[in-house]
Amino acid sequence: MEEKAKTTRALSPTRGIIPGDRKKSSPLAKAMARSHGLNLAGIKGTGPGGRIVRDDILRNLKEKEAVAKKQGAVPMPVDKAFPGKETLETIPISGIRRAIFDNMYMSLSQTAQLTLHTEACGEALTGLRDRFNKRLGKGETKVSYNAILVKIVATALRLHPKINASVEGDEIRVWQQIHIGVAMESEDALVVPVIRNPDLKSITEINQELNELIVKTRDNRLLPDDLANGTFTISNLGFADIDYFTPILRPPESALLGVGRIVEKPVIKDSQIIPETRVALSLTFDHRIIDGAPGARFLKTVKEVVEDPVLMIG
Amino acid sequence: MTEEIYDVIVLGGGAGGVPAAIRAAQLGGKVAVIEGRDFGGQCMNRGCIPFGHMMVAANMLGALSLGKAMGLGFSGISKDYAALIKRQDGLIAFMREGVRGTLKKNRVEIIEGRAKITGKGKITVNGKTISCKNIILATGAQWLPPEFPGSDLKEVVNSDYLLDTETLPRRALLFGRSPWLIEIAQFLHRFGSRSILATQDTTILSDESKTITARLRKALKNEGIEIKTQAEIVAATENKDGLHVDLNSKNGRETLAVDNVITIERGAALKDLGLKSINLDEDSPYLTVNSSMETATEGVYAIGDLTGPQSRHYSHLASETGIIAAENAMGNDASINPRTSTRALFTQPEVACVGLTPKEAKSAGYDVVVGAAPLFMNPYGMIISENQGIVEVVGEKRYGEVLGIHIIGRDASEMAGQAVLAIQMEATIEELSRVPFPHPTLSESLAEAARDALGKPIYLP
Repeated sequence: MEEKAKTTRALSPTRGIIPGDRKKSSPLAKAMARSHGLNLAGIKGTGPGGRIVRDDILRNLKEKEAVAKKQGAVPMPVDKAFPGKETLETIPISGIRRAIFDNMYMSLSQTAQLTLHTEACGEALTGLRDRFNKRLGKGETKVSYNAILVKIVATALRLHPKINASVEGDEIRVWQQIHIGVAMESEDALVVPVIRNPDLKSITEINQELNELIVKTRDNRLLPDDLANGTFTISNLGFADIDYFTPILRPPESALLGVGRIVEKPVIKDSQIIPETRVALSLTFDHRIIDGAPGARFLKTVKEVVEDPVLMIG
Repeated sequence: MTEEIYDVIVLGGGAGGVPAAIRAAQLGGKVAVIEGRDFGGQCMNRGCIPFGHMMVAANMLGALSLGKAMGLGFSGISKDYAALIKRQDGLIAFMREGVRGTLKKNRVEIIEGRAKITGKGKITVNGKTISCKNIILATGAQWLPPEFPGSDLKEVVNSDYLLDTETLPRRALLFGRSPWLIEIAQFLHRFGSRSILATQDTTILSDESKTITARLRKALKNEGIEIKTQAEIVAATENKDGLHVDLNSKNGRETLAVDNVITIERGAALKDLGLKSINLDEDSPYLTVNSSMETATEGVYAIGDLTGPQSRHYSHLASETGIIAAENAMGNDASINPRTSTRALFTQPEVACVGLTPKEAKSAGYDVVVGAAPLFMNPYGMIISENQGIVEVVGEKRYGEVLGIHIIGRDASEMAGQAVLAIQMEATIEELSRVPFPHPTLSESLAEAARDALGKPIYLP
């Protein structure tokens, strides 16, 4: 009932990317969290049955204030605070920015994040994409690397189900369904629309959905449902010539794959230096619930399927 | 044989002590409750229940005028006070037995006698010393003697007098701040006495919202109950036709001839409990506790009337704090919600208030918003000619929190149940404004008052 009320009332995409919205909380606590851009997922509820109540929000705000003070973030008068600098533009940290601000901070402050890097041969990936796109008729949208990567990651998650998990209160929940978010840039912020059950869909279907989400993002038409309840995220910075990076988790998700550019590099094979298409892969995961070795094995599987997509059939 | 140690011993088997004992037993504790008089305490034996019963009778008399307007005929109405008391004595005896039964069912040991604490975890009762890990003090309140020249005369009485007398005073002066006096004034008036209500404050119910007090005052005056404010008794003297009371009030000085002066002054019953042996002050007006209901001495909890001034003496508060104390004594972590304080007055019109008044909210620093829905605009209110009633919702603008709900009118105390539920569940004004209350009921005005607070009333002119 609660969920229904939300979709009809709030159409702002910010609400969708607050994953904690499904936690039990009082109407007042919700209103307070919204007003302060707090993420309910990071707040411990002390009401009956772990319900988040007014006092929990007040406690959280107090803690935040204390942290800010400790870090010396006490606001100072402008003239004294910025000697030799003049303000060109003041952008309020509110709305979507506030939500991202808090989510990112909460992510890093409340989980134990570890990033592993590897590099895969990208020849098969580019080859697969070319084969799809050669078969396209006129006017049909090209299959993107992201669509193929969503399918590859879904396959790897099926083989490593415990990566597809969240911390919920005092428990680890391993999810039956796989929902993969793909980070996108909207006009003023980062949004992560979600592809549902990509393990059950073909690459063409995934590609089609992804394109619809891109259009919706561009037109600012994303609904909360498009953004909610992901179990894993892919962030691709290849467009900006980035190779490796350390992506930040989106709680309550526990893992995220960063994809770098697909680029030709010299590699040594059979004692010969040869050119080969390579792709950088970075996996961030929550070390509280995923140990280093299983995390590494998952990334290895991703690498193997990138290098030999036929494995997806198995 | 080794001595058995109780987990919790509750001193006092009243409105607070009984639920405290039961809750501690439910949590697996070995529990005893010690009561020196009647189980059920003041509330059941000499307070809420008998006077609630009497007010129901008074309210029936008040409803006759509506019946007449609806074409019903009444003749030969008799008011048999002795019959009323007989019925309520039977009711109270039944309830008292019920309390014993409930205690037994929950395996709470019942000890009858006067308890005295002799040290940490040591209590002497009926010549025997027993040991316990936790003590819950629940001895309630006791009468305080009024202080004015002549206050020791036998005609100066408290509410207990009405429960023992067979004939009601023909003329009574009800003197003091206690809201309970207002109920008694109306009861006596409706049973044919002349009631004069006198308070030291500038108005009756001076702590409550002005919207409410002004309407109650008007209703009582219209009915013929005299109200004196800023009053003080200069002296009372015995005379051949009863008492002569020299009264100073806002209206000036006057001498009133009455049969009785009734006062209600009560303070925490802290004496003779041996509190000094556990480092608690038995001379303070009441005991200070933290939000877990624990006193300054570890393992000693205090609840109900022991923990606040007379204006905070409410059975439902005693019960709530009793349960909290029991849970904490048994190692849980419960604390009182200060936002749900509820006050009810069973006059006609009834009054019930929850949470902060507009004035209190403002002085607490909130950006206050107030909405109101008069009951004469409510369809059911129109049916029952509820002309004086109103529902007032107090909220704050920042988050839309509901801070207080104040109601005067029929069934206000029942509506207050919905109000306190909303506040306890932390409903916002918006939330309250969207509750589909059944139609036609007075409760619909709760939503309308909330809508008024949001600036979008639907049925108000």
